[in-house]
Amino acid sequence: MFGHLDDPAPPVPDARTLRAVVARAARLRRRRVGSALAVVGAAALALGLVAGLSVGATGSTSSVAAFDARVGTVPPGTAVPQADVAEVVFVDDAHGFALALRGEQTVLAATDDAGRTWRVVSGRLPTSLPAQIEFVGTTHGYLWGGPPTPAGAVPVWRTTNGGRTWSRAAIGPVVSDVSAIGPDVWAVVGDCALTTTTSPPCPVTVDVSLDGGATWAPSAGSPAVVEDPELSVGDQDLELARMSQAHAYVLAFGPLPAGGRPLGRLVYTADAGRTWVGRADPCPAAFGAGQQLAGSGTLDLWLVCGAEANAGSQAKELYRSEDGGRTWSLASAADAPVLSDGVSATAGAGLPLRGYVSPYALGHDALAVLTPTQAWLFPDRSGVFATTDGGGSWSEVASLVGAGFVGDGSGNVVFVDARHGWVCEAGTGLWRTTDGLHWQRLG
Amino acid sequence: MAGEVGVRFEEAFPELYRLAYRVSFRVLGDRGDAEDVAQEALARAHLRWARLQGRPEGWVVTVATNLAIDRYRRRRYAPPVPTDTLALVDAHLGERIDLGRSLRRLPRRQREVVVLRYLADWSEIDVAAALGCSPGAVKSHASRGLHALRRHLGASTPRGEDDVRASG
Repeated sequence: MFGHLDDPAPPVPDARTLRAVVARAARLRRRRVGSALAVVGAAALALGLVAGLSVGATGSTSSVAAFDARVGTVPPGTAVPQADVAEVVFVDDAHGFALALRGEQTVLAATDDAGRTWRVVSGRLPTSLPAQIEFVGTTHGYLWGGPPTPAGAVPVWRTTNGGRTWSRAAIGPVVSDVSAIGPDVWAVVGDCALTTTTSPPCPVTVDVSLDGGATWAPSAGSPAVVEDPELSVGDQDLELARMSQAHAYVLAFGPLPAGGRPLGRLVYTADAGRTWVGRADPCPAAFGAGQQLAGSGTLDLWLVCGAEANAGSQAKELYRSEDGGRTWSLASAADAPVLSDGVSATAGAGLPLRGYVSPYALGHDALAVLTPTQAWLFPDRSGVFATTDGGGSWSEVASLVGAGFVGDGSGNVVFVDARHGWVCEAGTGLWRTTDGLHWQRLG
Repeated sequence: MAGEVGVRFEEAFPELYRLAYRVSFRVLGDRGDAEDVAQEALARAHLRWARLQGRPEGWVVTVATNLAIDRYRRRRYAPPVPTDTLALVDAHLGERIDLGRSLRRLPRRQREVVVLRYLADWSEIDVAAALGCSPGAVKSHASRGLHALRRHLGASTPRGEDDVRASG
């Protein structure tokens, strides 16, 4: 009946398409909010990229193919091509970990030379991308957020030996986010397994471990947010933003209910979870498709709201708070009413229209906030942008482009302090800065 | 069938992607947008793969169509952001617009049936299996849905193709 409307030459899905989809799934899951200046953001989900796996000037096509084609579990110590690195975290200016793709498998890799080289730590992980990782130092780490188990659980695993072995933590069933400050680890946990078909909103707890994830107990107070079971796949409609051991935010949002407001809610604790108070969510409904929260301290918050995406563009708004979320002001926007139900941003410009942020990009990992005035933003299918005026205006980072950065795929930007940072573009490679200004390609 | 219990997402991916792309393109007529919608639908399927074991095709087609219709809906406010030039290359633009608008007007169940039966070219038996209802119910929903669709689409709907192929 509608055969005449078909594409006469439809694209043939291949491994690259699959990677792009897996990357996109990962981005739907990721709502990661890290803590202040410590590892501002953390991971990248590089993979596949809507715009293509352009293996860069390092000419690593053959090494990627060789790495992907290896048979069996890849042994520790095997070199990992930069283009296979999919998600990175750094614990200092030299040491970092990465989830990397090897064909359809996910392996854990590590670097001790600031990302120039990566070697396999474990070729047999208990879960796979779109998993997330976080490390506290070079030995203790956490792995969560991969595909659900047959029982609908999304567990968290911990390692105490740099990722060589992992043990499952006794919390769950659905761990949405994890944040560790030393041995003090928090996890946002949904009480409903993913196998639940249709059900009312699911209660959420914040579970706390004070011994590096060995034992856990619910926080004394309840954050009073719920998980939307329909979004729950992602089950990553929850973000945990820890600004210090005592100060933290939990952001919960879901898809727009028909004709209604988004489910966004922001709650805050200043006493390590004993009590939680509500904070206003400034994102208008039309810009409520996705949100990501970051900050440079207990009071300085940056909240990016994204509308539905379309053909590489997305209307966006950035709100800032200098009082811990009590009041918000619009700092900048990328206005395109055609993308936001005909609704215009209240005012302002300054953000790039092209490129995707939450829920299509890397969640919090696309936004790295260093100080109340300085931040970096890497929207998907766009480029890397920087602000030095508190988010009012954003400029594309020219030195990255000059260093071979393409910017039309997926990736993220990660800093361990104001000078040392990395940009990971999936399928292309890594770039590093040691002064917060100039970027060089690694590998 | 791609969704047999135990089938890995990677194994089912090519078939599901083709399905999602086809229905999306039929509504949108734009390769970039259709690929974007297909990727989004498959990404969502990937995330809930544990739930979809058994028969994910219907879910994927429905989600892709809804995403495509939603994308169409956003176009009505103003010309699309100038990344693709749909209107310049698509001889069936008017029909696609009518299709998107007409599908939106259908009741949910009718739309599901019409989408699977006529947009994805499934047989009544397969549609019934995917939606968990009887073939008779599918026939009834399809008839009503098609009637409504034809009323909305007017002359742009080809006649005599109501009961076309059962591609099962």
